[in-house]
Amino acid sequence: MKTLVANRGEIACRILRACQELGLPTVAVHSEPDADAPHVLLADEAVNIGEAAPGESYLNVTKILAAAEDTGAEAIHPGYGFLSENGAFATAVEKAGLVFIGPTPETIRGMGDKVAAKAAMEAAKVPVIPGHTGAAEGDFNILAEQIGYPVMVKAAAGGGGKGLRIVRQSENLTAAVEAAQNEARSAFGDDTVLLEKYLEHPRHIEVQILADNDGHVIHLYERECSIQRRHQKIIEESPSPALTPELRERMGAAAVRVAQATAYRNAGTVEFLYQDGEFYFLEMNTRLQVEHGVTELITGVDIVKWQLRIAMGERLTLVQEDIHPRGHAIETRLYAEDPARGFLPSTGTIQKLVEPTGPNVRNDLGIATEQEITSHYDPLLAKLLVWDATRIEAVRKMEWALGNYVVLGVATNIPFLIEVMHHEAYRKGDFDTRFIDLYFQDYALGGLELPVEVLLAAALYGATQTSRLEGGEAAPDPHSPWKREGAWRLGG
Amino acid sequence: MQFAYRYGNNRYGLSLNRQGENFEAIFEGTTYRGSVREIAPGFLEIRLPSRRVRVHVAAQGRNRHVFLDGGVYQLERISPTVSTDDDETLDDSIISPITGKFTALNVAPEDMVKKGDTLAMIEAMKMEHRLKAPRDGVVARVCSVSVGQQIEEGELVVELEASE
Repeated sequence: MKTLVANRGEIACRILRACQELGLPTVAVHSEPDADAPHVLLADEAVNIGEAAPGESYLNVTKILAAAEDTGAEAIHPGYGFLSENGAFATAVEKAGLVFIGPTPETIRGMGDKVAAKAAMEAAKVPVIPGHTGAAEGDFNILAEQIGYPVMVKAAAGGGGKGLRIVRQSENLTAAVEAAQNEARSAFGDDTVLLEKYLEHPRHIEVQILADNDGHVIHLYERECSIQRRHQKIIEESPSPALTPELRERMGAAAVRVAQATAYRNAGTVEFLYQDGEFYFLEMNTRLQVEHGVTELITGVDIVKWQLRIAMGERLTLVQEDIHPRGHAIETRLYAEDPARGFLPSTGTIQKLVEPTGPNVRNDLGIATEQEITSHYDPLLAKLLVWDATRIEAVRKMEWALGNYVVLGVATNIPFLIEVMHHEAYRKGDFDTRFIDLYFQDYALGGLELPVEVLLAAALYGATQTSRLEGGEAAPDPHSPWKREGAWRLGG
Repeated sequence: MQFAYRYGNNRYGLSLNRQGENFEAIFEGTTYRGSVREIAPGFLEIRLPSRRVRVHVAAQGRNRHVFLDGGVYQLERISPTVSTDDDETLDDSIISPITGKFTALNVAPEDMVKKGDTLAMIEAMKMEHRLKAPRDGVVARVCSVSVGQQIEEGELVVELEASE
């Protein structure tokens, strides 16, 4: 099954390697600035599909399908992001006679409609956030009492926090409903508001599932994803420090019911909010997740290879009783964001890259030395994963690995990730989705004191280059940044 | 040989004499004697009497990126002879802090702006950045990049008329 990977960066590399392991011929697609990107170099064939802007390349369905046709690809893996949860794309792939490596277009669309998905989950006896999803009529006071305070009043047409009110006591409800209706009317031209239980301190916990074409579904246990910055996950781990074995089994079973209720096939993730011993369905991600690797480390199951096998029509030979998670895995996401400048995106050329290696350290990389990091794409540079027997050992291993991760040329969030690893609440596993807001609200990487060794290193490096010039030596390193700029210059 | 670097808002100068692997450096009145070995290009082992460190260094234009013990330090090589106390203040100029797509320009020359007004927006890596007025003032000029085009880090976006 010749497979085209419609993505870039670390996830394209991950999928291409899985294809290679299974002996599948591969096709990469790339935008113009990505012509020499790592994923392009990994694939058997590569097709330039256009300009840097995603709409001209990685989001362009017509060009991707044309690339598949030109290369004779039989299947398309969408990765995550870009077109991965676009039902129209999945339909177009199937109409072109190709295999879409993922669920059916109907499933993607069904899960994309959040209100309909919630109703379907209720029908499948999967716990959802208690709330009133009907029309505006009805006595809000009675509904709120049924749901239990605090409640959230939100615009049905909502988004962006407009028409959103949190009410903690019944005497404030009427005013909040009116205010939300007014805001909703002016923002969306529709004053329908809904009531929902407000979770004050939820954790974000998700369950990985795998399903084949015959309806055989298993779950691969949970991932704890509560450490988020501006709704962007930055650290994930498995198992979750919050769950008891009993809750873990219940959540896994609920995720399997979600998959069965939607006739799910291939890999997917059921996201839950968890608080005070209860969990609630949030949504289902109908694709491979960024953080799938932590599950692979604790279960030994290669999720991407199974995606490919299921797409080739193989039956899922794993049964639930075979899945025995062991140890503890943590992932940190390395973003091209500068913690010293309010996490602004950082662009530039990777001058030097030395990733940490050692027992049970996994690097999912999408970057290479001399690669230019542009502003066109997601700032995710790489993922760093570690596994160890216990959680605290995994935390220590992650600290070691982050402290030995050399990325020069673009600023990264590595110093921030190290700070999180050092934080007492993180080390205790005592956190929820408010963690970053609570403890790192105004975090700014302070100017590190400049050790004299750094100054010496800069000057000695400069002096080294000078002596080479004087000695008339050729550049010893073909990848040297000096070479790129042409002539040697005097001094550091 | 004299070297000078800017790190943060500070200027650091040192003199360095090197003979083969051995060096002698003077920094803020202290003399450091030691030796250096380049283990791999840009990977130095520096030995001082009391300690030994391994450091990664990369150069890009005038910038020096140094990695030591998990920390990354970005230095700028500057002239050892010129003092930098005369740093120009750029309070009147709103500079693009990032490279990205110029998505909105909300002001034109002669517009009055209030501190905190969003003057322009730049999108990079799927995130939107608002450039806000640092003070009340009148727009003197705006950049020549058209909306929808790429704008480079450091490029002038809006300049305010000098305050009296």
